[in-house]
Amino acid sequence: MSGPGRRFVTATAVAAVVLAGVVPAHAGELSDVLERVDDAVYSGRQMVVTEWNGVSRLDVFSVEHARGVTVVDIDGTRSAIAPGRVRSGTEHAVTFVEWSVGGPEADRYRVVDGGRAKHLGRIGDVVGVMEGDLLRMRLVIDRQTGAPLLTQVYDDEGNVFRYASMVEFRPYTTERSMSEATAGDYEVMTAAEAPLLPRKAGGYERSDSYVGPEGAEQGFFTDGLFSFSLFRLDGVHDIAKLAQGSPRVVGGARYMVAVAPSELWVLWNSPDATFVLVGDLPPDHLEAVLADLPRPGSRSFLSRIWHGIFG
Amino acid sequence: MAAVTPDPDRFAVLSAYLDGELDDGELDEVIALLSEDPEAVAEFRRIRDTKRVLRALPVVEPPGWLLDVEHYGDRLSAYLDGELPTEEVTSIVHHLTTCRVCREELHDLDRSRIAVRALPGLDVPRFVAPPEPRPAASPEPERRRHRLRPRPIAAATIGLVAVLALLSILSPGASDPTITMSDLEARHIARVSIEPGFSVLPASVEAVDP
Repeated sequence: MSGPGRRFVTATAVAAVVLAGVVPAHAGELSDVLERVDDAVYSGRQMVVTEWNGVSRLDVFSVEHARGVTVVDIDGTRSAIAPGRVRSGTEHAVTFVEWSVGGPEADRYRVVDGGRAKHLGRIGDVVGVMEGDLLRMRLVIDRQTGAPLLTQVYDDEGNVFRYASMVEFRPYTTERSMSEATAGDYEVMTAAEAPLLPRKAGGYERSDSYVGPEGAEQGFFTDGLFSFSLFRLDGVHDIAKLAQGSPRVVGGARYMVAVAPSELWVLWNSPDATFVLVGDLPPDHLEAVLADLPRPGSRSFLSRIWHGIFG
Repeated sequence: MAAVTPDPDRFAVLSAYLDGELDDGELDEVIALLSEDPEAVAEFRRIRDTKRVLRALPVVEPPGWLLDVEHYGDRLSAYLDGELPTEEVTSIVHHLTTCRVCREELHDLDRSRIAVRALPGLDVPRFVAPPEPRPAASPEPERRRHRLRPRPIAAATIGLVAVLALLSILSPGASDPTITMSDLEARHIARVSIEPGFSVLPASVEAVDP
């Protein structure tokens, strides 16, 4: 299941809590900042755009956030996300019933106070997240609610590669019962060993792992701020049939990369498996992570004959 | 800690505020209350801190004898097969959140099912299959039995192997994925949503239409 000393909590044990941030923000631990953002109560419309290697994707969507539940409406598809569970449209409903908590300490980052700023006429506290001497993230957090009014994520050259901004904002939710949005049946995911997935990659640590339907192994990695899932599918699948992406060379190897408004997708084949990585990590982090993962490659001529005949 | 005068109404309104259940007008009243009344602020902080502590509490697995149903056993298989009525599914999902034994059993069952599904299909040899009933009086003459001839079979086998080998060389990525990007995305979002401050959106990747 997991290494000794890890704690697991169940979905029901995580009480849905909302903490409206009337206490003025201050530059403290990164976890405090993220918790405050998570606990905010707000609704409105949000714009998110990611730009990577000349490719950009943008989405504008409605969002409601309260009691740890986020409800978003993107192009008429309504999705409800609560801690450990997601219900997206009518097709996908997944819940995790166990996971590891108390992941890696975010000592990679420190938080600095950036003063005040106004956004949409609201007073916000500016928080900078530093990775060494590099400004990695800049947030404008609504002083009254704790909602993230503006988020900018930077690459290692100081360029913004992801920008998220509220374009309409209400300091309350319009849905009377947020928890009802997540009601219903779910596909249940339980923790499982995934020995073929690495424990660490590019400064990220694997918090836990799962094996889902079709035998797809999932490892969840985080560095305390950014995170990604690495899926390993047995066998060599045609990745062009999985997602629309472009072939890109990253760290000297060829991958298929798909840019989404809030995350990057990377797909590749190794000689025996197909890997899919999805996460919100910055491009320079992505390159470091990919360097520590199985490299793209194909089977040798004889190996392909052997596997073609005998599987 | 500062002394706080208990006030049920104030507690209710602050609790509703924390639960995000106030409308715009009520919200303004609470904000005004919190900006003017230090006792209300102290009570608000106390409730908030209590909830924070509750959230951080470790989970204790209840002993089986305390549960209404100890373990679901065979019902888990029916659950995986989608053969249970909705109310029982709800009950099992609830039970799974508290029972590690059933979670592990469910996981083992699921892995076994996946392994069984992955087994290659086998054609039943003709001599094992039951003979098909024949009409009592067939007007057709009895078919001649052909003896198996080794050479054509060997040649056909070699040819089949050659075709398979050629296909495997020409199309190294020929196996079709039965899993979709939407499946993987849902699993990623469900997991990342546990992390505080997550920002990943659903339905944001362009999947190839099957």
